[in-house]
Amino acid sequence: MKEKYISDVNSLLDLPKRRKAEIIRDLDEIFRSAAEHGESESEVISRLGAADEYAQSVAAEHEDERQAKRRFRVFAAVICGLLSAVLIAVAAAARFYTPEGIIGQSDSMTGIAVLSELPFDPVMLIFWLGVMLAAAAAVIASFSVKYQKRK
Amino acid sequence: MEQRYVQQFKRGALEMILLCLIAEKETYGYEIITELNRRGGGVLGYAREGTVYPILYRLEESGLLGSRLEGQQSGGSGTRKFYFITKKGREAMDELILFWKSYAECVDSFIAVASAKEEEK
Repeated sequence: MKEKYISDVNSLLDLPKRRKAEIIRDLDEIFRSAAEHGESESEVISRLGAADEYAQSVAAEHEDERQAKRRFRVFAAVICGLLSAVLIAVAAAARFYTPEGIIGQSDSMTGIAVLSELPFDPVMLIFWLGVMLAAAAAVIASFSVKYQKRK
Repeated sequence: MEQRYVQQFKRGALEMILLCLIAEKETYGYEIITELNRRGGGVLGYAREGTVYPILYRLEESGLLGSRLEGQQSGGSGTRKFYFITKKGREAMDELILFWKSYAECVDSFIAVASAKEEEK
């Protein structure tokens, strides 16, 4: 009962890690102190209010921290997204770039290959970096959605 | 009775009251809530953990309160956090008390005029 209550509150709190840890530690202390004074877990819970109520009232007191965390998350997601777009665009441009002043083309497959000095293809590296950043942006954004839904 | 106006009053002095309470002696969360409700519950209404604890955090962050954890060293479960008032906290408390007294005098003077007028009717 106490474990579930505390874990419910934990999952509903969208606050910086340190603040969350403080709040959870305090909750745990509240239950233990109450037990020492002869209160049952259900008595404590009815006094604290339902898990979502408690999470709400505590979060309301730390609204500025919550907003700061969300703003940072948005910022991080946007930066990742922008960087990702830039990298993918650069990779695409490099792949499809046709140098000026080419003196001829071949209409059929030829055996000419451009050898890179590197053991890997730098364009593909840039592309995949871009894809990873896009994934990172999506993951960061999903956290905001996760907390929105839980409210 | 208009609850929301009263609400402001109840909430208004909580920081000062907490400072006074903790200035008496070093204490911990459960004890603070119990004392608050025992001594002020009738007038201030039930003091909830969800309201009081964040105020304690803020007071600590402002340097008005200090805290120490007793129990397991890691600061994980099984610890008890004791709050104590700092020198800065005592100074702030003294200032708040001074302000409270002048605030009360000021409000009382308005009430006195209004009450006198009421009696005239």
